[in-house]
Amino acid sequence: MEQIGVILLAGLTNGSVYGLVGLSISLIYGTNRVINFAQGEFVMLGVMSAILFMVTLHLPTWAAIGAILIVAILAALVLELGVYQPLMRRGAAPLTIMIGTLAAAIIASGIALLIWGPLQLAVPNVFSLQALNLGPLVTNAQQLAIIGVFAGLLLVTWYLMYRTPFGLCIRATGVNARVASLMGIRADRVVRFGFIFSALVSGIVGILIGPLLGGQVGMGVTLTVKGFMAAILGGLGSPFAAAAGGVMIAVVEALVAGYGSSLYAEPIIFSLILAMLFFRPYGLLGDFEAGRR
Amino acid sequence: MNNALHRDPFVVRTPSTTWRAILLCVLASMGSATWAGQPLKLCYVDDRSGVAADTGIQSFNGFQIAVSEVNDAGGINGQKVEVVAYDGKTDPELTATFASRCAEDDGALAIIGGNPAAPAAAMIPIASEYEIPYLMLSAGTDNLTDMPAPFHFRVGPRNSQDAAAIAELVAKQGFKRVALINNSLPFGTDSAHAAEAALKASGITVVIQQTYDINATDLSPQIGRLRSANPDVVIVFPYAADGARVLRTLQQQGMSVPRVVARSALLSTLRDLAGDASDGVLIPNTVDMQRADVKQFFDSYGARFGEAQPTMYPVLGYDAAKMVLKALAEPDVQKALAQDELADARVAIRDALVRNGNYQGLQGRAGATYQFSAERHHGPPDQNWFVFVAVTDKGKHLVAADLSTFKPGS
Repeated sequence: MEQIGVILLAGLTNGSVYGLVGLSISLIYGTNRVINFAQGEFVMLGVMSAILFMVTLHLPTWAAIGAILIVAILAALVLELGVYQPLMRRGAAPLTIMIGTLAAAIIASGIALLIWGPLQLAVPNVFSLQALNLGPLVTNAQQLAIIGVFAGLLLVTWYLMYRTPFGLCIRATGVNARVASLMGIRADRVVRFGFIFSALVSGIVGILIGPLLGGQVGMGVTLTVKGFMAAILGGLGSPFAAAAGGVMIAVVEALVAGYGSSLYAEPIIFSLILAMLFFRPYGLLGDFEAGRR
Repeated sequence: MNNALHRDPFVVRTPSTTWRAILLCVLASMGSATWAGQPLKLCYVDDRSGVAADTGIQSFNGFQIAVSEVNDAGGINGQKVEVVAYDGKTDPELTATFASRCAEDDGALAIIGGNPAAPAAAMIPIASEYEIPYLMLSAGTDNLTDMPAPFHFRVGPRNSQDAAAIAELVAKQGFKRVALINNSLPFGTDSAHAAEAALKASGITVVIQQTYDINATDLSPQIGRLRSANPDVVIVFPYAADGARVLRTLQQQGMSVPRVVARSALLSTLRDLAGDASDGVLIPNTVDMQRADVKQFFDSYGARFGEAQPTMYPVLGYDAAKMVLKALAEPDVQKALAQDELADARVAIRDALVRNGNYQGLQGRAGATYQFSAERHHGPPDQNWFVFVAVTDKGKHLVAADLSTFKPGS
């Protein structure tokens, strides 16, 4: 019983990270039908900015967090105004824009290399890393914060999308931006909001995972892949399905690690995703997306 | 007829061909006339900005110290040594391209580099194709020197040698119940398999072996299983960042048994990230700070590049460079260089490396030497090579390990 508790807690912790990146990818996809391959770079910028503001500039923690979020917003605006909008104005297909985001990711990684160098760096922890006993389970405040922030951001996203008029605008733009514009919705601003909100979520992820994973300018790629896997498994069209996909992937990883070997986790997960796509091409929880077609 | 030739767009005009031939002859003669006075070029190709940048930068620094020593002493027979350096960024294709450039365009006499295994392996076929000596550094994958590759030499230890050294230490110190934990990358799995085999050969039981993904933020399932198995020592085969997570999770779960971590813990990254969770950890190293020459080298290193902990990485670059520089001074090599025969010079360097195979460098314990020969292109011997160091001061320093306290139950 204790063993399954440990596994589920580890799955939930790792799944919260994958889920938040998946949610971020889905948020942008939900407004403009483009998969942002630079999503992991937003997380990387969050991690590396934490080093800049907390270690190099010695800012107080809350000032540093504010500064990190401003960096995330600026990065989102650069991506939206520098890559997405110019390509859209030239009538580029979604696939071309995706490649544009991939190019932006590589450029961001290169600029980060010039600023922070190539080495893996230690990131200060916002919450304590000391052992914390939850009954028979042992964790720490930083890991619990990841789960708490995941739950909180899911709630905020749900409220925003389903309980506010602006959320209705987001969903309408995601279905058809041109029609939404004809209905008086400022679709371009909705898309901008999608970029900014997803970058903020990723920046927060960076603050949380930095102390656990360390910071390295090349870390964004892996996170993008995990987030993309989460979104595909759960359902790309819904941020909540993508988040659930992240948790599912991490729980399977933890189960395979706990009862077998992590060596086989990725082949098993990809087999599951493939098998699932045969039966549910829109993802396990992708009815939201499928129902709209 | 000539007019027809002039009009044909697919036929090069004769006057132009003549001028080009003259120009090429002039250039070639200029080249041969000045070659003897030109610097001797050595290429350094390694990861200096990717995930293994720590190792590449330190080895390159060691390499530069060796070259500077020779140049400051007037060069080799009056010829200065020039360094051509490329950053392969942990990318095998890019690294192979740079190695080709060294051999083909730069006219290098040898290539040195190769800490991360995949890009290091990518340079082996290039060395064979261009017949240029290639001295690989810490890339430890066992089979990299198994295939016939006459121009390829390995200066650092194999992963299985690290594993055997750890197994020997554990057996000598009286441990009976060993837990192994490794990441799922080839370095982790290969090393764990080698350690398991070596431990079994010493009659020691591996009570549990766990593998983990390097990107997992929570390693509790694996560490929980380790704890349940009640080992008296834990051996870890990680990369830098994930190794720190293993050590922190061991500490978090109250596992205070003795721990040995593979050579990745020599990198400050792992110890910085682990902090006090890394204190007391033992690490296999190939640098013996009791040796005066080693201590002197690290003093020079510190003066030029800033203080460095005594690890194998700077020494690998230094030793590899010294072996090649020694070969460059050999009469066969000098004769080939005087005759402007680059290919012959490379062959002569390869032969000299084999001939001087028992070179005593800075790696290994006092008296230990490399063991290169015509049949054996892997330098480090199995005995008298490893020295264990311990982590102290919240991961900041490495000191000689006190083995009297490294016992079961300590």
